Amino acid sequence: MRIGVCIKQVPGGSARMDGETGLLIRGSAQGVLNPYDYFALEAALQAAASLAGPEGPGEVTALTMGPPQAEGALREALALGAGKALLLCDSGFAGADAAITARTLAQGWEKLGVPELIFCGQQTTDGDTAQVPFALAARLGIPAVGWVKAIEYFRAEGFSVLQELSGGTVRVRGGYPALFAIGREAVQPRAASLPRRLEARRAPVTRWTLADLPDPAPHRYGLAASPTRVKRIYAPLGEAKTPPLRVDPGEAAALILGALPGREGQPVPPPSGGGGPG
Amino acid sequence: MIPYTSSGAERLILAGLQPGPEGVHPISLEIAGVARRLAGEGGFRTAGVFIAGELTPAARRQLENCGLAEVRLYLNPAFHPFVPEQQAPALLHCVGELRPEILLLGATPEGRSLAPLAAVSLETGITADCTALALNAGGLLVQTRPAFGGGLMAEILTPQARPQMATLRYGIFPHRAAGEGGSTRLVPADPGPLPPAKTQAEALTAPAAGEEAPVVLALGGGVRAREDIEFFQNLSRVLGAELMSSRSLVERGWFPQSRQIGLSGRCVAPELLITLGIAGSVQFMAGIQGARRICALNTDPAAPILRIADIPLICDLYEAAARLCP
Repeated sequence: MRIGVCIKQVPGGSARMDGETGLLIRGSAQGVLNPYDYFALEAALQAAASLAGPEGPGEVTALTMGPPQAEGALREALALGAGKALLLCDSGFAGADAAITARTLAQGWEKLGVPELIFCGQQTTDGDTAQVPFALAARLGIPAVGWVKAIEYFRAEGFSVLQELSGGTVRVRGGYPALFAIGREAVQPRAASLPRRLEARRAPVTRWTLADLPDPAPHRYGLAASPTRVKRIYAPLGEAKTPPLRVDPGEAAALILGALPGREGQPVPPPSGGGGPG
Repeated sequence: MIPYTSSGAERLILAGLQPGPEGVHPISLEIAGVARRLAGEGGFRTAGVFIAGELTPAARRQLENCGLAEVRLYLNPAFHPFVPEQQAPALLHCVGELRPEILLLGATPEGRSLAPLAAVSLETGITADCTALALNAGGLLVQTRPAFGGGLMAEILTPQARPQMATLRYGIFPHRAAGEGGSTRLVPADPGPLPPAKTQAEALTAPAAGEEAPVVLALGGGVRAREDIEFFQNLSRVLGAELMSSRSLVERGWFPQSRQIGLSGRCVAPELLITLGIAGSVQFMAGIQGARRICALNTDPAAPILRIADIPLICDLYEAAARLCP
């Protein structure tokens, strides 16, 4: 069975943005693999092991869309155990919102052959939208199981996972193909070994541009195609509500105790060792 | 489903309402309130769409009093437990019938799964996890959310595609009471045969009781060592507070994500929020807008949290905590 992982390079430090276009400038920040993607990769590698045939575990393919330096995130995925890495890289992809990112990734998978299992991190730490996995599944016409918090099994005949919704914990079972958006509690990511890391540095990374995709029409990609537009970016804070007070630890403790509900304005009793406010 | 352009959209705001443990999920009442406010500002009509396994008496009462002109009811045992591919046809059916200019959903796991599925079919975009919504001079929905890891806020428009879709962070928008007049019409609706289910979902546990802790103690990057967490657990008991954390401690692996406050965690709305060693990224601030009062303690006078706190204190958190929990 073919297994794919969608990953993303995110800014490791602080990213800046272009005041004119509202687009992210990654130049200064050293990119890192999106932290959630470690969980997606681990889940993919475990699924590959569970579904291994006589020839051993199937290959896990990592796919990303990004600038040339996003290759760094793919090499991290290779170091962790992915067998193949694919970068969708074209200036025409730049500025894509979540909907168009998902469409571009779907094109990549379609060109490669849609895997039976696709894993994504639940969200990225730069965008935080959690929208791409679901939009990607919808584009590919496969079910999406999000908010995965535990994996019960991946077997040849189907899977069983637990997801956490606002309505509580839900067990989801089904067959393939399927896409999984993996949360941080689902698996314990492995560390890359040094030999694998060295190997990953030299491993080939396939790069496809817009012209390589099944639908190469430029107007369907990037900023131009994106239904949403960032109009303004701003720092959210105005004046301080109350001037901060420089206090000694005893005063700080008294102010905190005095602020507890039901204690406002009351003399502050000495802190006790247990219980709590009524 | 034929995508429609702005010229084909009606001046209507559709509020996506979801079931909760008792009646409707509280985010639904927040969404209804936002829809009514925007409708008043922009001359829109309002409607809601409620997709659920059944209509409980509590949900009926809440929907009848939600203040929207009408709510379309899509009730089918197949809609419970939530499976996005099963509910999407109902939502798309409602959107196809009402052709809303704006579609709002809750940024719950359910809403954040359903919205992108619908958006792909409608060829429109979504702004996820909005913390503010307004109309601009041109009548477009200005969708505000934290951006780029939470350091900044972004205002986002959907200029052409319709509906303009947004999911709303839970716990941020005020509940706007509509009175007990029961003036909302409940209209049963039928999306037709559902597609065969590709996955089977089975509810295992109900969510943890929705009781909000009156006091929340939140720890941030100022905590120096994992071993110290036990001390702060004791402190939280002394204060009668629920112990939570900012993202930095979750990323260090010291707290589970279920205890994280912020854009990628939970929103809290306690009577009193005490923050220790939290700087206050926008990502964090997005989760505390419902807090009635904030007491923040940080050694850095420039920490953003001190600017929004009601009781902003510059002090070493360890020294202060030692006085609280000797």
